[in-house]
Amino acid sequence: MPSDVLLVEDHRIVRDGVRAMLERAEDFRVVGEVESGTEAVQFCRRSAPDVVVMDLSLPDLNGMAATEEILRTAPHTKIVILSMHEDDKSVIGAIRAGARGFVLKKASLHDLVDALRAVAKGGSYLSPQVSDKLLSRIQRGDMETVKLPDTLDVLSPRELQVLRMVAEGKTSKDIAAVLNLGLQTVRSYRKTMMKKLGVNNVASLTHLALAAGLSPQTAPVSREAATVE
Amino acid sequence: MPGNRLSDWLEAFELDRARERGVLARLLHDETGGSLTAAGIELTLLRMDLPPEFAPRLDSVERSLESAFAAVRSASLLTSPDLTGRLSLADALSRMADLAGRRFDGALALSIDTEYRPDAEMARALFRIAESLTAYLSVAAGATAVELVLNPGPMLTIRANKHVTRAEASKALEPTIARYWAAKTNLRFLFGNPDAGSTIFVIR
Repeated sequence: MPSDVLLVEDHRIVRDGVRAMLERAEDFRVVGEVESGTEAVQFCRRSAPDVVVMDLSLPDLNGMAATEEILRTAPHTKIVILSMHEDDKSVIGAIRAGARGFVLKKASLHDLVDALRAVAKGGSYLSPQVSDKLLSRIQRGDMETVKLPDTLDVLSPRELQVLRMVAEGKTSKDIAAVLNLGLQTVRSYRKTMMKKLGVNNVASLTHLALAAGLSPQTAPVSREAATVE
Repeated sequence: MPGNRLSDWLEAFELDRARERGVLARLLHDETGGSLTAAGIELTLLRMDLPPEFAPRLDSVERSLESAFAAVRSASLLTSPDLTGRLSLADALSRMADLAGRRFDGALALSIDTEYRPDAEMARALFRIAESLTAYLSVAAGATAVELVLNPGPMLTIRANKHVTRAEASKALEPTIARYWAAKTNLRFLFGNPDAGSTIFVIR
């Protein structure tokens, strides 16, 4: 029986290509295509596909945050990241978020199908360039550099998730919608984080998040903003 | 810093610069990267469809495409305003030096203690200081040899084989930016001319 796959990618041309590749592999069936992290979370809440192919850089909710959220509501869904970047923050962040595979976008994507087959069977997969880089970092004993700063150690995983979205400029209402929480619950998270971090307004909270490296670097700039700049 | 107005202006300048770099990184990633990925998928599908005798030509296209991928990946990463959040400080400085070295006819040497791992704010400041002073010495000041040393002791030392006076340095934008980042993170910014033909900046 083929595995159900959801494609999460904001470039239609890339989605079309991945779909064409998977149509040739009889063990996969593309059951949905969405363009944003929020849509992916909503789709998985409804349908819990077997595998999600997820871009990291997405409008409104980035691939890492979407991965965390999907796994909260659909823990059996396997997520494979398809990314342009192989930097530490992207790779280690995606793995920590719960992704089972990381495939680098490159000139040949034949390993995407291998990755999907591996994770669909309960395994994991990293593109060779990504695993080589991780191995050399482990050998150098250089893994701690992407550890969260001590200042954020006091926060729970859920609070960190909310803080990331605050740093991306999302309102409590936006966060509530994406995380499927009540508005008051999000406000409580913000208050608790401010208390734990010793700040008294959202601007300071955002500043602290950015200084700690929780920047919205994977959150795309809108096309309008890009042309205006 | 000489005055609050200059400090405010520099803060606005650096924020604006970071925003512009973010837009550029995003455009490179979204527009160019998306198109290259689509081309890569098409090439993968062609390889499945065409008979084996086309393999050498497809290999050649794949190599060209991979070079373009590598260039876009590197440019998108280097323009990211959060480079030191995405890479270790040592990796970020190495990439900065690689890029600076391509625009510089002289010798650019880098010596980094990879055991030294400052926190995120300090890493961002040290990177920006190193980037500004390297650009200043190698391009504006006209040095032909620049050496950058990072270690936990004096933190950052940048030497060049060109005599730059304090007055000259204080008039230029890049050293002013470096001083701004040093002040912002409570680092000492030291300037000197060890001999008639050289200049040294020490940040500690």
